[in-house]
Amino acid sequence: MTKKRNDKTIARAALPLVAMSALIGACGGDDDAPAGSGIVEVRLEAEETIPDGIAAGTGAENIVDGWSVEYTKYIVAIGHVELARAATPDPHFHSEAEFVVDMTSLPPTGFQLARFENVSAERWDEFGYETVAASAAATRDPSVTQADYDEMVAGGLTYLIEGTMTKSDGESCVPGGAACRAAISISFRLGVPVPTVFSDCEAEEGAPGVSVAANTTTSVNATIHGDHLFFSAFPTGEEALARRAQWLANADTNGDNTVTRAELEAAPAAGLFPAPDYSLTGAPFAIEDGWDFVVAQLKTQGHFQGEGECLSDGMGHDHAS
Amino acid sequence: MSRRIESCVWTVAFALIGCGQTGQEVYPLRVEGAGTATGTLIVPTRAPPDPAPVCAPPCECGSGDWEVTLEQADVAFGPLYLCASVRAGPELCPESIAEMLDVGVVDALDPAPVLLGAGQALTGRAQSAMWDYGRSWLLTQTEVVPDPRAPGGHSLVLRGTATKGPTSFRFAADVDVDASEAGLYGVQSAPVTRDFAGPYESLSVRFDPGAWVSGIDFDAVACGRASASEVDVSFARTSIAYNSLYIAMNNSRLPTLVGQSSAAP
Repeated sequence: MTKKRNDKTIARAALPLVAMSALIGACGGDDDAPAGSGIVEVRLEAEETIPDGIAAGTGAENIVDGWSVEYTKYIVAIGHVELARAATPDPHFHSEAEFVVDMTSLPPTGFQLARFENVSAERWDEFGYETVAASAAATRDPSVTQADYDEMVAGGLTYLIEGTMTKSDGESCVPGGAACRAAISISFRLGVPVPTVFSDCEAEEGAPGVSVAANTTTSVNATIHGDHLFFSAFPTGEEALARRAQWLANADTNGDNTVTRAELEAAPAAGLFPAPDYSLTGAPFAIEDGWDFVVAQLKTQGHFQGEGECLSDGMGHDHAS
Repeated sequence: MSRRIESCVWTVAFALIGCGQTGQEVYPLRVEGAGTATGTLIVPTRAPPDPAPVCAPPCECGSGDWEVTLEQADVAFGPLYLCASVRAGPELCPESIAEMLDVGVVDALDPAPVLLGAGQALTGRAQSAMWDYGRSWLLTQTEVVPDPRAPGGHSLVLRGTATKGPTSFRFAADVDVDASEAGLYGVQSAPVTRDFAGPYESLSVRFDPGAWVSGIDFDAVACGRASASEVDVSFARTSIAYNSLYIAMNNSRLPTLVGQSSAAP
């Protein structure tokens, strides 16, 4: 096993072979595999809410105020996978590779972010990754159009989320405005720069990091959730949490059935997020307007192995589902 | 140190400190509260929506900003828990590094410090805090219960006057910053950096009601009156003005917590 090295050169050299992503991101392996070592493959996984949408309903995973949401694009810039041991910081494994991927169309087996070889067979208790500000160093996955990739890079975006929310008897009620107006469909396209380090990831059952077995390939998933935009609060634990979308409909202040960043920035939080339906306490920073809410919620979307949790920029985050 | 459910068992909690935190000393903690002299506040008029609605009474249609004078801002504060973890919350911070189980009341317009309560601290660094504003919802309770010391049972009792041009009205808000469910806190997690080294610890909590009020859209409040002659406005719980104060107190304009260790009380 070798010590960490910057493999950005490797990633760039492999660019034409991006489909062979097994070649990308490997870092830290020795030429001579030690006895009792294995391979760790790290895949990007989309929570089912991203390809399938979020249905209205009364269940724990539903949007409770009657709106249903479908995403047409859920593009993320992601990379910088890290695998280490707390007790022995070096050597460790690190991938500098960055990708821009649309998570509405990931293959069923996920998208490979990194592959580490010659990983000693033991528990590597520190696993993390980053959602990054897209740059030209990032590899564009074919799921992303060149135009969207260029927009991501130009804006240093981390997410480009496009979707539509519908409700048969929906209304948009601009806070402090006149009477509500009928709105059965509201579209949104949000390009959000929100680079975040997700570290110290633990699986849902609480085991930190990755357990590597000898002569075996271990696959783990960096999971991005798709429902945090519609969280009604910023949970710090297993407290009850509702999903609500009315706030986004109410942010359509110009009544064109499309919500923009400018509208969200101009919409004070006090109007969009009435208590007790919404609670902003525990947010990672002060929420002044609707855009702050978007950024703050997207900062918590990185998970591990489905529902497992990671620290978000060093801050704990946890929720029941 | 102790979970919220243990807050009623002070002596047991004290014993837990000694048993569960081997090698850490326990020090007395004095928590003071102080307000901010706000004087006359200038609260900007918000940009009107586009297209701007026709302005008519009871709205105040003149240009310029609002002058706001606060006459009363009584705040209940506590219990307070400080955590070693970067983020607080009952699950992320099952044991606090310092705590004050008391509830105190501060005249938030008076910069002079007053004693909020006494507590205790362990040696170490606190990086986050969680607290109630005088209204707690313990796991053993079915609803939020106001502390007897909370003014009128509320977290904040606010009174003031807003003036712009010829329009002037008094406003009143009785704000309850409550946990969303049993076992949680009014403020779930706030960043703090505080090293406790003993032997005497103090913590000063500074409130700025002017900052809380600065987010209120007084133009909207004026327009929401029944008539231009209405000079007493009470912020309903469902109003945006009320929610503006609520969010300021539990998210966007949190009081600052500072303090120091000293050799003598």
